[in-house]
Amino acid sequence: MKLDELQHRLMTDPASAREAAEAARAEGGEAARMVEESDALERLLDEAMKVRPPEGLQQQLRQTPFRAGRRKRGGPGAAGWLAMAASLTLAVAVTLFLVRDNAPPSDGGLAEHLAWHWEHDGPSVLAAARIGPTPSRRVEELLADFGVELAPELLDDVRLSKICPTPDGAGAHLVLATQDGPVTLYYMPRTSVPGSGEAHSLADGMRAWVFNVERGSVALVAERDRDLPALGREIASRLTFPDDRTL
Amino acid sequence: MSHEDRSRRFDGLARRYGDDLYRFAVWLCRDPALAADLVQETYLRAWKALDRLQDEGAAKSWLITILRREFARTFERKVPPIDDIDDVVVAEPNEQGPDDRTERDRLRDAIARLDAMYREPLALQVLLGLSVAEIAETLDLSESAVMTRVFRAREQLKARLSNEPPGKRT
Repeated sequence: MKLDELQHRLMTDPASAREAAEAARAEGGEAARMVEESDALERLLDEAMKVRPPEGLQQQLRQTPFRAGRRKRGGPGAAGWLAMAASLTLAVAVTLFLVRDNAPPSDGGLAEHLAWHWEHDGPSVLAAARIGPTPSRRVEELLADFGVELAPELLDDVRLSKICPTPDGAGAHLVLATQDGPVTLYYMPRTSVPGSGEAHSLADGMRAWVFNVERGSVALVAERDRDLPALGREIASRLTFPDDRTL
Repeated sequence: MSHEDRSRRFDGLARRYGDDLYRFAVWLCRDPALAADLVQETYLRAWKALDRLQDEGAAKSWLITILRREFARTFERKVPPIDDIDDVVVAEPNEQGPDDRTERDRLRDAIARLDAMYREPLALQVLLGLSVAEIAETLDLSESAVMTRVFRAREQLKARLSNEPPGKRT
């Protein structure tokens, strides 16, 4: 085989050029060098392109039938095995989250938990949220698992939503776009704070403002100079709790 | 087909192709979070249409088609600008050290910067093992167009790795 033909095959479909490559390797010289160079590139390409899938992805995909069934049956309030499946999905997701790297503090209280949570993934989730709004349907589904609904105008501001751990079980982690910049929101369905709310300092010059809602509490995280209590009042007025589901 | 059989069949599709479809989605979206969403949406649609998949041997192409259609329908407009790629694609946990990362990360950066018309057929070939004919069918191109694109993709990557302009090396 001519060198330019060999080169063309190695560059277009190296997998189908194995026989030709073996022959070239045996031949030595320039042909063998071409094959070596191609092998090296393909190894590197394979390594570079095969990024590691997120832990739990397979499990989430395999739970698709349960999610599809839940959508068809009407979401919040669906009873029986669908609710159990949803809870199981969340339990698996949260477990995977917890075992992924360092687990959250088990008995350090809300302040320690918030500090851990922010350091654990706060900045990276904020960065991921830059790509644009999560489909509203996905946000609604996630929150429905906690029996919460957002007003449409607030739903439009959600840039990212995911399940997250709270001091008392699973919760929701959202990033909201506001006029003054992004704000992180943790919904903690089983955690409550003293009636007037409380503030906690976090790393990176951030502050958390935690306040109770009809069921559980919400922590807002943003830069220290932001008026989080005012934003909290606005958000609280746009949350509804149509059913009593808790996870 | 009973619900159990359907679920078992679907489970097999998730196990066999889930990871590779995610990887393909990463290079399509150039963003891991978006890619995970895209693959989940793909599987949701696949579940709903599972009865239409008659030939198990065509499952991979079928899933790729769903994923590409879903990407074009709702995800493409959310692809991050090129300047953000370093932050989202290259980072991966549990790396060994800077020396191990250098060459691979340079290549990742170069792949991410490839034009989509070169990046996509290359990803189909490298990640999903599609032949030139299969890529041509998937992308609705001629086989010669596919060969030209994957050739140019590799040519550009080699050039970027060696800091030479494309076309200078052979």
